[in-house]
Parts: sequence; structure tokens; C-alpha cells
Amino acid sequence: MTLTEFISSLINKGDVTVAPAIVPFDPEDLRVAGIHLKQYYDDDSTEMPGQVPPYDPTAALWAASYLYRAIQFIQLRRLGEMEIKLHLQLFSGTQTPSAAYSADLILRYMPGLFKLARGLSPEDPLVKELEIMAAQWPFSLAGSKDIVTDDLSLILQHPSLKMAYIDRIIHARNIRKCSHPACLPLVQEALGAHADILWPEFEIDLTAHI
Amino acid sequence: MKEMIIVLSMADISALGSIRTWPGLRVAIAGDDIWVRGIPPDTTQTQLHKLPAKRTFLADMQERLFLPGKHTPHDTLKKMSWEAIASFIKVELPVSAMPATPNNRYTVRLSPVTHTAEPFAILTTLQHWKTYADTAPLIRLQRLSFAVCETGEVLVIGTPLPPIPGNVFTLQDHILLPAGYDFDPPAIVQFISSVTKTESDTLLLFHMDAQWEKIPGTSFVRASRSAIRLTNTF
Repeated sequence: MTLTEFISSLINKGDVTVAPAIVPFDPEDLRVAGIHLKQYYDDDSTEMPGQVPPYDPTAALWAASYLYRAIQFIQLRRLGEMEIKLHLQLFSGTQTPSAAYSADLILRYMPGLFKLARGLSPEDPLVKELEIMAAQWPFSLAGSKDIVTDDLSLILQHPSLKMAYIDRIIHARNIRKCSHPACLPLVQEALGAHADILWPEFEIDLTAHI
Repeated sequence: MKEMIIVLSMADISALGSIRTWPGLRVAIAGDDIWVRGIPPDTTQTQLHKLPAKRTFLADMQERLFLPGKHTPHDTLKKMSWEAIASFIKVELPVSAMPATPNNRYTVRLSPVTHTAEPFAILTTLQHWKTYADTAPLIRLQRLSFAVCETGEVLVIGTPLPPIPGNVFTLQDHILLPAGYDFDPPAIVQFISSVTKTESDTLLLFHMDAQWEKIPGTSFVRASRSAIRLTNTF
């Protein structure tokens, strides 16, 4: 399966297959994949609150390639730590709201992959590598209970990402992340005077976590 | 003797109405005659004596028929198809001799009330709705649905309602009433529901001047940012 087919299947069907060997992506495949990602960005931005950050094609394509390789490493268990570090490179660009949202188009599927990788072997070098990557992308891992990042400054500086992040941690009913000092007032604002209807357990659980 | 049997002419069938509720009576038709059996032999009921019976018999256990006061059998009971008298004679309800006809049409009215109910819908503009949805928390939007008319008015339903300008309505039996108002008298809400034959997912939206409109459930879509942003009127 090419990277383009991988992205298309992931977005439209939610399931993917990957090539049985790690070979470089074809330049034409990367070009078409970039077009698919931009189209996905345009569609997805209609569901985002406020004005979304501009598209960052480098971050989006890096995220798609990273996820593709990560799934390959879960399937190809014979590959070692050296190859994992060689092919699962962290994002080398600047972390900006644009990069966070563009990469999120694909990285939002990471929590499911995490569970799968941890289920195979919690001490696996692949899991450690994924954890390092995940800590850099808290917006995409908002719904994950396992990955908690205290530094949310990049997300909170952008109004659209900030609202979307609060939406995600409320949707995940993640009390720990909702209790973050920078997030708690925003969560309370979102629930307003209707916490008893929208999330009845919120105030009860909150007192237990303080 | 076991029982009394009487024979009436078919023309007198309506006379059996007076004994229709007697227990154990059975009826059979033979030619132009109606045979009735199961009457207690020693009955003194006056309804029985008033019946226009052509003949009366007393029957024994062998179903031999005796004329009253005679000790020798007159005949034997023929084989007939017997039926309970209650099912043989159906009850028909009488119709009114002079049924009344309403002279005036009733005008539905709404009146202010002191009690309050939780608002369930808000009638607002598409612009207000879009502005709200642009930055509204997702958890608030997910509980709402909306319908848009070509004039740009939007009816948003669900709870809690969005805090935007508009007219709010309460819900009673698929009827949306302006908040703070009720039917006058309130009891006619059930009558209106039955008269309008409202489908289960259809809402009747009443305005303060009692004008109303029917909004089918298919007109509503779940609220999402994309659904609201992509909604336009022409």
C-alpha cells in the first residue's frame, strides 16, 4: 500500500495496511499524498472552532510518514532499535500552531496505535520512541490518558487549538487533564452552569483529584 | 324435566332481546322458527310469559318433548345447530334522535402563565446561530439539532439551549409554546395533539398570536460546526 492509499484508507475507512518491507516512499506518491492531506485539512477545518492555523504541508506529510512507519514496526517485529531510530525520526521543523494542527490530521490516530504497541510489549524500544514523539504533540494526544504533557503553551496561545483541545479533553472525560491549572477555568467555562447536565461527575471527581 | 323449550316465529326474533341476558339459553333456527332451550322448567319470570311463543315444550334427559301437563311424549327434539343467545342476538347502540352540531369554531388562544418550564427550543437568526457555533464548546453543540427556513430563521432544539438572542419555547406533547405562555384553557393541548395527527418526530410551533406551523422531524439536522457553517439560505 502506498502512502497515498494509506492516508486515504485511514481517513475514509479507519483501517490500513502497510508494505511488508521498509522502502523509501516514491516521490510521486509523496506528491499525491500531500494533495490528499491538504484536502483533508480543508474538510476537517470546517469542524474546528474559530479560525484554524494555516496549513503546514511539511508537518502533515511528516506525520503521515511517521504513522506509516510506526505501523510497519509493529508488524515487522524482526527489526531492531537501530532501524527504529533510523526510520522514526522526530519532526525537524519548528513547532508552531500550524504544525500542531497539520500533523494532528494524522497523529490524532496515535492513541489507538499506542495501545496496540503497549499490548505487544510495554518495554519495547518502539514504545519508548513513540512516547518521546507523543510528548511533543499534546494536541493530538489530548484524549490519551497515558500521555500527559504539562507544557501546553503552544496550544493555549492559539484560540482555535485551545478550544479544540478543551473539547477533546472534555469528550475524553479526562479529569486529570481538565484539572491542569491552565485548562480548568476553560473547562468550567465550557460547561457553564450546566455541568450537572453535561458532565454530572465532573465536580465530584474534581474534588477527588485536588 | 330437564328444561323448557319454546318455539317462536322468525318474525318475532326481536322479542328475544328481553331474555338475551339469561344464563344458559341457546338458540337454533329450523325453517321459519326459532327454537330456544335451556329455560328452567319451573321459571316464573314474566318476560318469558310475554314472549309470543308458538309452542312450548318440556324436555327430559332423553330430549323427548312433552306438551305442558301431558305425561306422554309429543315428539323428540330434532338435531339442530345450537348457539348461545348472547352471540345470536347482537347488541346495536342506539343513535341520537337529534344529534347536536357545533355552531361556532373554537379559536385557539394563548395566555401568559405564572409557572415556568425549562425552555426546549429557540427561534433565532442564522447569523446568530453561526456566530455562536463558531466558538461554542463541542459538548454544548452535540446536544442540539436545528432546522432552517428560507427566510433565514433557525429553530434550535435541545437542552441546554445556546445563550443567543431569540424567542424561546417550551415543549408539551410535541407542541412548542412561547416560554411563559400556555393554551387557554391548558387542557386543550392534548386535544390539539390528537386533532393535528402529529407524527412522533414532528413539532408544532405555536407563536404568541396562536398562529402555528408544522415542522417535520426530517427538517432537523444534528448540530455540528460544519453543518452550521455550510448552511446557507437563498
